[in-house]
Amino acid sequence: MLNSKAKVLITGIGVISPAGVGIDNLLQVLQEGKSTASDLTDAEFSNFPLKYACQIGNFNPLDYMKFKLARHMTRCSQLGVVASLLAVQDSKLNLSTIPSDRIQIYEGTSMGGLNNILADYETFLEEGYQKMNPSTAAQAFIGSTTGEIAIVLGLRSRSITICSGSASANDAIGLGFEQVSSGTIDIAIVGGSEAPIIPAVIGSFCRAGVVSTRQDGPQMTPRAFTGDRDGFIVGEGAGFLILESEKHAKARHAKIYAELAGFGNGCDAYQMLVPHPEGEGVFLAADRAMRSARISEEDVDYINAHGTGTRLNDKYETIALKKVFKKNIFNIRVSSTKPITGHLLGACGAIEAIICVLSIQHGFIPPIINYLQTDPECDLNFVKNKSEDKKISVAMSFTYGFGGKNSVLILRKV
Amino acid sequence: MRSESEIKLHDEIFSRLKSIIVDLLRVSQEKISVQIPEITIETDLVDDLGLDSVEMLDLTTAISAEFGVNPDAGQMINVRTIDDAVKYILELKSKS
Repeated sequence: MLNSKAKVLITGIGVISPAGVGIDNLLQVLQEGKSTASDLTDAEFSNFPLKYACQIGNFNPLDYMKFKLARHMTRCSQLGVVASLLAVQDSKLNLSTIPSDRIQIYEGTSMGGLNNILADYETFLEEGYQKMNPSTAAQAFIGSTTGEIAIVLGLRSRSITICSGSASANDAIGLGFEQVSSGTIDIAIVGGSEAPIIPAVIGSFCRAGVVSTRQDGPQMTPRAFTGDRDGFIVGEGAGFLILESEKHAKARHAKIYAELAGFGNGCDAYQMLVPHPEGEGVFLAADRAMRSARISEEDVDYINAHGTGTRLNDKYETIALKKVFKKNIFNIRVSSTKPITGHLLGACGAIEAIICVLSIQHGFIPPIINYLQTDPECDLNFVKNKSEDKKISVAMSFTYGFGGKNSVLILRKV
Repeated sequence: MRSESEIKLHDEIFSRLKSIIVDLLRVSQEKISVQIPEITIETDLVDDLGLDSVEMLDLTTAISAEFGVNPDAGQMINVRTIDDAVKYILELKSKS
């Protein structure tokens, strides 16, 4: 995206994270450098080598919608619908005044309602098809959440789900950005939702060897970019942002959090599970993002890295970021917030974009917690263990998905 | 004024119908973390519980199996509340 026309502002945020519902809960754990991990206590997980997850404690969808709506939604959809509602409320937008062709919805997820599909398949095996849930097909397909959001918000607009693995939310946010920036629309409701703490997903990750098998307590893992890192732990949640053209936002005197300044993505064209060892796709994604934001390497103050804590991601991400920023990389503060929030898979980009906004707004950088051992192959300018006060003008958020999908957002102080 | 036996029959049908509906809701919401609200005689099947057209068909089948009656699909459209359903079942039972 080289020729942006409209400045894209962030005028609303809604988030449900393992820290709890709302921005303040997330801000607190970031500023305090506090893990949100807890034990996986369900018996289904007892044989897995992964013992912990970042789970949402107190969330009752009935606090936000009637039973008759909530019961037809998967957990992923409940989280996404509520987060989008919170974002709209936060923005104080009156949606009824927005023409439906001037507003769009983009949501990223990688698993959607997979758990409901699997549960219904078990019902089929045990009791036959007559006992299957007649609503599963509509409830649990990967695109269901954007349909639910459109219904709840009453929007007859484009409403699309993006699935790029762990790059899903960044891609969803980026597509909304492009639509507002080009003048096609005035408002985009963008974000991601994920409820992946289910045996099928965690079991698969265990078999792929990408999750942490530490057993010394949930607060001690994961560890990103460290010498003793051994993988990520899974988190659940949803985050939504309201993107609004500057003209539209200023006309209604909207509260402005930050500017979404740029977006770029690109594939490694290498392998499905392993990132490109020389960071080719990351470089292109970042370069495209920086050109769309009209910034150079020297302008960046903070990088929220993908930093999953796997041996390969963190090593190759270090190489990639050095390729992008060259010698300037050592002037840029870097952290991964996945040790605090867990890896929210398709929704991680949404949470991390919100984290970048909070960093800009409050002038601090959240740390990589559990950073106890260095790795000479991961030698970037990290913020370790404690958050750091810093005025941030430009933050970049990097997320990468299976299949070599790389997606980068740039956020800027207004 | 209903007799004691009529009241007893009404309550029994309400109780059995409630179990059917709770069972139907559980089937329709595996792995969903929402609590089923209390079901009373005034509960509206659509507005309170969100039963859709397919679930209403399932309910019709379940009523037929449980009470040994033959509900008419056309008549079931008029059944909105639990009270409506109990009265309809009583009506069908009186004719059988």
